[in-house]
Amino acid sequence: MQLAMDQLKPFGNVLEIGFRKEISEELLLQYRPKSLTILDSSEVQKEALEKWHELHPTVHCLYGSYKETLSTLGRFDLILIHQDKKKEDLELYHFLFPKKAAKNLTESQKMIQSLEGMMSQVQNRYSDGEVDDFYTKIGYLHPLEMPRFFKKLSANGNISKEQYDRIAQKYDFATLERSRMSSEDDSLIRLLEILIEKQLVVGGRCFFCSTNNSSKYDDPLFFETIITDQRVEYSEKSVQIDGVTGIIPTIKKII
Amino acid sequence: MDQKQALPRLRKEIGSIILLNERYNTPKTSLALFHFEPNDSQISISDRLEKCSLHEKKIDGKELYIFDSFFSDAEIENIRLYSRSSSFSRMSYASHESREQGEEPARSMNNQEKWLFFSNPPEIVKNLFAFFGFLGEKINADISLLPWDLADENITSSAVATNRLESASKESMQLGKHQDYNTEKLAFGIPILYEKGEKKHYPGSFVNGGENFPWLVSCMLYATEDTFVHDQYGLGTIFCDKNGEVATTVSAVNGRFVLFEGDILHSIEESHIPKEISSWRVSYVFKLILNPKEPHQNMKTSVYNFLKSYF
Repeated sequence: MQLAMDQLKPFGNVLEIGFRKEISEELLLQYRPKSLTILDSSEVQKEALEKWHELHPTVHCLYGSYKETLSTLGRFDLILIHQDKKKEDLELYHFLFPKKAAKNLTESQKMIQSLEGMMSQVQNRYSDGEVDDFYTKIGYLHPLEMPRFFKKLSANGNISKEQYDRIAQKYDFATLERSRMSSEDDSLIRLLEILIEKQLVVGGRCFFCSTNNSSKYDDPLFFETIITDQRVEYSEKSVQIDGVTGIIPTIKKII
Repeated sequence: MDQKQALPRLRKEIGSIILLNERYNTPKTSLALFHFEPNDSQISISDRLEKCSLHEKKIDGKELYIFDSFFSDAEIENIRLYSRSSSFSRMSYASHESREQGEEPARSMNNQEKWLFFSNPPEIVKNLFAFFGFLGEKINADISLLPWDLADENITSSAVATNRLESASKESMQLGKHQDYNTEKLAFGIPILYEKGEKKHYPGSFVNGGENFPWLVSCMLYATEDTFVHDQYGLGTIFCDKNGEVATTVSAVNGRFVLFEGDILHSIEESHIPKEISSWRVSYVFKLILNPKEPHQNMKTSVYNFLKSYF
């Protein structure tokens, strides 16, 4: 995040969505923006934010969901978005260790593919009980892969169409497939749309942590919604951290 | 002709195209459409058409138009310089089948490079977009790209494609024969513009450019290095008849563009560049939908009737 701040050079009226004590202090001490507003909706962060506010009374601190509170705020020169801690830990993990994160994801997919390969060579038909047993012991660990996995079993004749339909309904494959297909940053995209429309001045910038280190140009939903929005200029910078390449995405409002 | 113009008007549309083939229901598919709107260009497209050299050919009844000298010398040199300095990070193949059979890959732009090229193109491409908008206005059609990316598990077919090559073998020429699409089995449904009320779509199978139906064409713009001798070095485009035999070859001339029905079988011509010469050619391909705005229109005939006065 320090590297990102160095790239951004914060100034003017700054909004942080999500409270991160170290970052807020860095902002105040090193960059001295014209104003700093912090908005957080997390129950976990509420007390910490209130305590920190006592030490920094000039900072405008708000607790509440962004949907409720953003409309009460004006426009900003810079917006920093921190998502919830657990998710940000995961984002930070992806950011700092993109190769490891990609490897873990790949190994999960490889395991499922290997299973698919083995099972496709088997002519057995599986009972409902065996299918449920598999799902509760193994399948639930890789839910997003399950719709595709079971489709292949059905196509191979290991389970019947009726069995597939039953499983699909029981484990809500429709939602899983949409989850797999939609960007992991779906809620982030919705937030960005609001910020671009109402919270950024022309010339203002917005920065956020990406869920993974893949280019946002490779994310169709992000591409369609944000990158191709003619009101903004989107850019990605590659940075090296301890020999690992990460991406800093930035949105600048131009109209 | 050397006047600069503002960016041509592009209109993004989401949600109008539907998928007809589940095979392309993947995380990498984007059904975004970009429409080329008529704009208040200072540059007269009519003047360009008057001054350019335009040839028409037919292959099994399918149209192919070759435009030369449509752009100014400065614009033509500009695309060369642009191509020389651009990045083409990705390896690309004509089709899944040709890749499996050992086709030599071209270099193409990755998603970021492609978007930056399309959204802020060199001058020559802005004027090409202006031509699309102008043509649409003249024939009463909406002209857009195909859906931005159609991806199955293995390959992505993009509405904007770029190919940078320094060589191509005879085998690659054979293996790389492909259609950009086949309107007899389209993976997506195009909206019917003249149907009022509830949104309707064309079926996934129709005669390309038939009356009442859209006409799907590809537009290919060439750029070459200044060491490239187009009538000796190959790397043009071969267009084949339905038997797979070469019907015509179009040379890669810097600044030339070709408008052709994308279901004509075509491939990259084998190269004949001497080993001691370093050279390249790039093609920039835009896959288009000419969608009629009124019923009983025939897009193919309309374009022919409009362009024939410039032959």
